[in-house]
Amino acid sequence: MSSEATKRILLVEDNPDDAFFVQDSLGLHSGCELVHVQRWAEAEAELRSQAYDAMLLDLSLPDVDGLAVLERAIAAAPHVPIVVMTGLDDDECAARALEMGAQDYLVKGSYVENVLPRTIRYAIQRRRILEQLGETQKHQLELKDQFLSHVSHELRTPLTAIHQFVSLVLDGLAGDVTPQQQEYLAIAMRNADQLRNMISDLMDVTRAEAGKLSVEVRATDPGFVVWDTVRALTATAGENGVLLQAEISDDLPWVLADQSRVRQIVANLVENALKFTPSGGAVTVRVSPPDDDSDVLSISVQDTGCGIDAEGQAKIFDRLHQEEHAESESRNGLGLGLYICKELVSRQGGSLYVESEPGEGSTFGFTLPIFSLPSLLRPILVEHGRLRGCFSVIRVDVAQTDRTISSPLPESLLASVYQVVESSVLQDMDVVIPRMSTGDAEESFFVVAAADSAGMNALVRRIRRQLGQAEALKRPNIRLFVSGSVRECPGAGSADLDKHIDEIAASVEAMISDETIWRNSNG
Amino acid sequence: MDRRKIMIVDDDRDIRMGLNARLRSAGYDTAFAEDGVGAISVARKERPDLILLDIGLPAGDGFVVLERLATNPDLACIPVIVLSAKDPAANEPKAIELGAAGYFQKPADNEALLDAIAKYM
Repeated sequence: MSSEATKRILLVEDNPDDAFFVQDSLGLHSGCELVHVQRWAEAEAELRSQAYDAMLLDLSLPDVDGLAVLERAIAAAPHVPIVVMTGLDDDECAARALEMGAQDYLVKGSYVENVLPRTIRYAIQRRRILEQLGETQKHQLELKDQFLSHVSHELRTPLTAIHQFVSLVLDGLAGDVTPQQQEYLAIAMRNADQLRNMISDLMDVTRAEAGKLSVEVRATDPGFVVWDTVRALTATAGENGVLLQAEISDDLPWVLADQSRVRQIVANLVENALKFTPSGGAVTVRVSPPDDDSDVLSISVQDTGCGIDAEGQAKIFDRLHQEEHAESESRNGLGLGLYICKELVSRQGGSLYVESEPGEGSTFGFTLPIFSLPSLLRPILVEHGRLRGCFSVIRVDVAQTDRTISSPLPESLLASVYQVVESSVLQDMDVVIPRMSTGDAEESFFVVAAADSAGMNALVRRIRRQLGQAEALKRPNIRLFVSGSVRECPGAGSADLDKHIDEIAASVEAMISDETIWRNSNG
Repeated sequence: MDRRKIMIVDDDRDIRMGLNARLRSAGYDTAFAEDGVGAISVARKERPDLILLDIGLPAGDGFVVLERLATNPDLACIPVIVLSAKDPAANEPKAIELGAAGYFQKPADNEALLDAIAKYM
């Protein structure tokens, strides 16, 4: 054995002759302390009571037999290298044991004296190398993430200067601009914007891989969000000679999604479509109502480009995949866009798909879960299969102290309020309505609670206390106001649930959009 | 009507120049600082109507500046918009908590920034 500290080895063997043989072989070499047990139960106790450097494990023990004992041994001591021993000359068993995580395998009666200590030493070394490899990989991933963050950050500064000065000249602030200068500078600007998008994508991918891509879902109006995003892209489409239009149905249900991420995904899909659609073609964005019993809504972007073959379709959402056959003027960028879209869509509970035939254009689409207020409210309105007697609606208002300021409240402030309110309510009794922010100078959050008057007052007090204690919300220019009101459940005690729950959901929705009820019930 | 004054705090000369040109053409007067210490002393002297503040500064980063502004009774009422290359996901909440009125990541859209300046001023 090596000249390091004494190795403590656990020998789990019920056959006395086999055990004696091992003790004898190892006994001849110093540096080895052998502890012998005869049953798995004893081995488990030993592993719990002290640290072992290696384990010699017989697979045919009286209390647990075969590979099952190996499974338990690995679970009980994941960092201890294991050498399994058995009288059976079974290659399959050996291969399986190694697959499961044993470091080595010995067939009893077929090994010579020296093999045993050597096998143990190698098993310990191999285990150590594996663990170091794991540490190194983790460390390298962290370094890579930090490096990418740092690089993205640094690239922004010179890019900002370029952006500023090109736009200054383009806007005529450094003298008159000739048409040709205008054209050239517009090209420079377009490239600066592409660079900015590439930097953003790089950061998004880094965060996605580190599991840190942030997505905050709220009840969102898909029609409005898509319409607004398409509107902002119409000019770009026009520059390419492509007709960009949106077909948005009326009466679309709200979805549970992150508004800014939906914009990002739609913008990405439209920009891709524009890349692959020749001048004179069309890109159509559709938001379709869900099928009757579906709980998802579909948003799709269809182009009249060259289409994608089956092979391309299989790989298209991979990271760094770049499609050929783009219209000659466009570039590939970093090839990260669709990969990021896929991550963002799946984090919102939807799925991204592509339908295409070469020569006939492509349709990229994604689904989003529908926000159903009745489904959200059901668990708190129903008790033992029957409708409760009453429910409460609590409202938290956030506003600027100075009412003349009309700028929207910062998203991070609203997120903090939402978090505090969420943490103040009881999970199975109260529900915070996840509304998307309206961009106004005042915002309101609503909680529906399975509570009567007394319960509602207690909840209001608790929310007020939590909001008052929150560090992030202690700001002189922000005002928070909490109030509540109790409503009777129409059809209380009834078992005809669906109809009444829908009614209640509708009345809650009306309450949320009707100011007057609240002015009269301020508590 | 007097022109309103905006203090630009950024350690990069080109960015200070670019912002200066843009803000002046939009009708604002300007003042400058290059680091955390300068930000406070120039603010005291010039009493700007709004501050555009970078985070990555020497001698006291943007967060330190926000803290110092908040504790100074003469300066605490000046609205601050943070303009930084740093990732908003990680930094905007902290900036808002320390009293910033808004956060833009560089390079920022000119129109959006000017709109915000007009609103918060």
